[in-house]
Amino acid sequence: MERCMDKPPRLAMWFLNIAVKSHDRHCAAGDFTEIYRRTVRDKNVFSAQCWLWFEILRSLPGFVRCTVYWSSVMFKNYLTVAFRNMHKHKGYTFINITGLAIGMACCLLISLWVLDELSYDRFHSGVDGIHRVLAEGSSGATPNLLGPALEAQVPEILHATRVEGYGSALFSSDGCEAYESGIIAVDTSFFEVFSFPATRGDLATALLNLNSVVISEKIAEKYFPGMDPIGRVLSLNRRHDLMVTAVIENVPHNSSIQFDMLVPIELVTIKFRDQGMDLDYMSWQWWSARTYVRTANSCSSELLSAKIGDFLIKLQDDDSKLTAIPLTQQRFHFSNIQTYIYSFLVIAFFILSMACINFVNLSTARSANRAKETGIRKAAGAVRGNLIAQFLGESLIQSLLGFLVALGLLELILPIFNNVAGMNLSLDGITNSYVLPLVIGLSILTGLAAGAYPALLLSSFHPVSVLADKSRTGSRGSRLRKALVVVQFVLSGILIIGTVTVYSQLGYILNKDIGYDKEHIVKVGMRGESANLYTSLKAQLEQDARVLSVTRSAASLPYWRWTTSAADWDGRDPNEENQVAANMVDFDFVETLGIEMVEGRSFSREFLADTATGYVINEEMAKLMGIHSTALGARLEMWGNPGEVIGVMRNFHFRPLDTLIQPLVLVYTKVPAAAMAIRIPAGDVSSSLEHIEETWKRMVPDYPFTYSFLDEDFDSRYRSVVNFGNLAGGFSALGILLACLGLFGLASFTAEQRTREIGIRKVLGASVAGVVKLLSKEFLILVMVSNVIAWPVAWYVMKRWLENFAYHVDIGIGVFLLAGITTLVIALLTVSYQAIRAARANPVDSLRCE
Amino acid sequence: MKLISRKEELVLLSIWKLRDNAYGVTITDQLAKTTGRYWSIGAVYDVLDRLTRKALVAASASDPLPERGGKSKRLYRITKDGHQALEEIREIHDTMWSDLPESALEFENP
Repeated sequence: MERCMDKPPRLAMWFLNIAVKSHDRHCAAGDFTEIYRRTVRDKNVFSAQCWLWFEILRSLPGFVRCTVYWSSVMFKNYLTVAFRNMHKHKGYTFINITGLAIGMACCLLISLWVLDELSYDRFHSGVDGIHRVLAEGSSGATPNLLGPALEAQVPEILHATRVEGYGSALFSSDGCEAYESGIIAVDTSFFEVFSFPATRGDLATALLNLNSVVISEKIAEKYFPGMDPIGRVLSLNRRHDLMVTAVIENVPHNSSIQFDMLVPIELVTIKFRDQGMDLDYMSWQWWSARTYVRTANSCSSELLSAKIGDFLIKLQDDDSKLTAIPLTQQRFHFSNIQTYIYSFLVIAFFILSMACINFVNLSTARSANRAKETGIRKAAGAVRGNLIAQFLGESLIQSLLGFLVALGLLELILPIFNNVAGMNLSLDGITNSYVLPLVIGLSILTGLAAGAYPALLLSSFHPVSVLADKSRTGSRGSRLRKALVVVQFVLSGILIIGTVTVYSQLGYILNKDIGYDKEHIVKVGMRGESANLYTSLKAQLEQDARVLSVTRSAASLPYWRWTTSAADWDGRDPNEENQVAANMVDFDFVETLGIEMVEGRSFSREFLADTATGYVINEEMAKLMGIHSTALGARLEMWGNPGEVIGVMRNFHFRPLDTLIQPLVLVYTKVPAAAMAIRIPAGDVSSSLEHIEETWKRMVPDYPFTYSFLDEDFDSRYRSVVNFGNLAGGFSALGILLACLGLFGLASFTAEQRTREIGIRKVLGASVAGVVKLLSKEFLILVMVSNVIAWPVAWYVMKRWLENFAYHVDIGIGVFLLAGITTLVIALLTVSYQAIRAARANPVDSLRCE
Repeated sequence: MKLISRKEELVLLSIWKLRDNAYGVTITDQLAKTTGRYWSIGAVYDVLDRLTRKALVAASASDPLPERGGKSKRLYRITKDGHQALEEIREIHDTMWSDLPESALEFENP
């Protein structure tokens, strides 16, 4: 105990140690210990400690001032040396900074994107308590009565709302009339579940009245410019007058629910009735609405899923299990954005590592040039820490310069990227509170990562050996350089193989036989009155040879969403939940779209019964029904309507191409559809369109004529997929470019190092070809080794990626050979430029200097 | 040569007085005793450092001592230049004091 009290606190002595110059340290510590002990002896430990800390405190300001002064002097020297060095080797500096800039720009771009993706739906207050309810076997749709039932019967659920797309409709105010398509029909509790802030009006009561509508500011400005829209009338399809009860802020782009107008969900029933459809929309059998619920924030989706899992089973004797997913997850649930994000994160990481590798390689290779400086600094008293700080500082300067260049690059790339990828990113995102520290942190991290090895290597040189013998230092770290080149080309190889596979998969999907003929089909929007005039429109249109045939369906291609569980057939396992896709079509549907019949017929005017009890199914459905020989005449019941199968269609894609084709039942109906499909002859498209428009204007003069081409609709659905391919390709090309840039730098360095050797070889009779071979061989071997490593890795990764697709290509050996040959050729071109230059140099010049 | 400061003068005198036992602790003690004020050991180091640089004192290390936690003392003694500097400053003091006219002293108490 005595001894313990005798000793001054360790922390204080540690301070003393750093504050006092090294040669005084020993004695100063002694002085302090002596006085400390004396005070302990004469007074007590407490006053001794007080004295010690007081001494330290009062000397602190002076110490700090002194340190800052001297380190700033040294810092200025470091800066001068760093810039002098960068200036002296412009080529290498260029390779380093551009490489880092490109790497960082990619990283920044991708992190902006990822942050944007992650920000989706986060703006709702208490977003943790918002869930989407999904039913097993359906892609997103839930029974239309589910929402209110959940709210009433599950205590955990505070509010539930249904969200139903209303399709497009004609809206008119006094000054403006136009079609709007961003309309959703919701329950009154919509605003309890989500938080879309109102600018005018009271959201709590906004949708209580059946004839009310909530509009966004954009719509308000369009229909009621300069007016207060509250209480004004918007007429829907010229039939219903809706009163504007509230105006909300425009829905932010990072909301997964996008809309311009909100109407009460009851309007959907009214819409069907208006169209003459006798449909029981509000029923358990109809699955079309999406269901969102709000719970307490503490209630996780897993918990909720467990609670409501057998809700339908108990209530409706329906086998569908319910699950809940967080609102923030719904985007990822219904698309493969996540796959895209991961792919791009990997690519960004690849690119950045390539840039770092370039930096490390060039710095260590050129360490010979810096070795003398290191030696002199060490001889002048620099310790290793100083040198490490110096070299790390230099790479930090370069990475910060790279960062600035990257920002500039990003400014240039962003508009192009947004355009190609259809995104909404901006550099403003960077000033966002947590992005700025992130990107600055990223550039500092890059600088440190890239500079760490050179700093450690350079600072480890022994001054005497460096100053006396300069020959050895250049070859230091050459094994590491080789390894890093291999890493770079492994990454390049993976990128090439990955890109080619992605492209061929996308090509495969897009060129896949979709099962119907999407060319030369015009889709004409049918709204309001026009729907009731369909029969005469069809007759008028088909009179002319410029139109081949006309049909309509409730949902129009290329994408049908509807599924139903209300299908029954002989031999159906009653315990099994079968979700079946369904669509209602008119005569000539199969014929107009060019769908092939495997057996039977499609709905025919010659068989009266077809319209009442006939069902046309696809091959998948036949398989589901367990039919082996002929499906014709098989009993099938839809929504309680017994009937029989009259025809089987070949499978065709009515869902995204990368998902499996579902069982499908077509039902004949006279119900008006959102659009009619018109097949026109190949050839004079414009005269056909003229005929259609002219007929429309004559028959339905009140409604504007709108049309689109099915193949264009189809392509636009897959634009994002194509964009993904193009972006991946672009980024991969950048990565490969960086690898080449590094190789170029390294090759020119090697050539420079061996100038004299080459001179002597030439004097002794070596040919240019021989010298080129000598210089290139080393690199080519590295590239070949890289390929061998890259192949299995890429094969495994891409195999996993392809498994995401229901229909996919196989990876052939060709891709690997292609990647191998490409990397070899690129590397050869890069290296041989330097090699040939070195080999062609006149030996007199290279040998003269000594 | 520049004149030494008052602090330097005091430290030099202390070292002189302490003869063979002049090091951080004793110098600080000596200063505190004669001036009756608290002297920070850091301040003393600072002055010692300056004096060493001006070569007015020379330092040497003693053997390590157990009561100092096994550390040695840094012992100072005055060099020839140090003596000279002290003489010089003393001369100036004396001259200044002796030259004061009688009448000037009378104004001391207003």
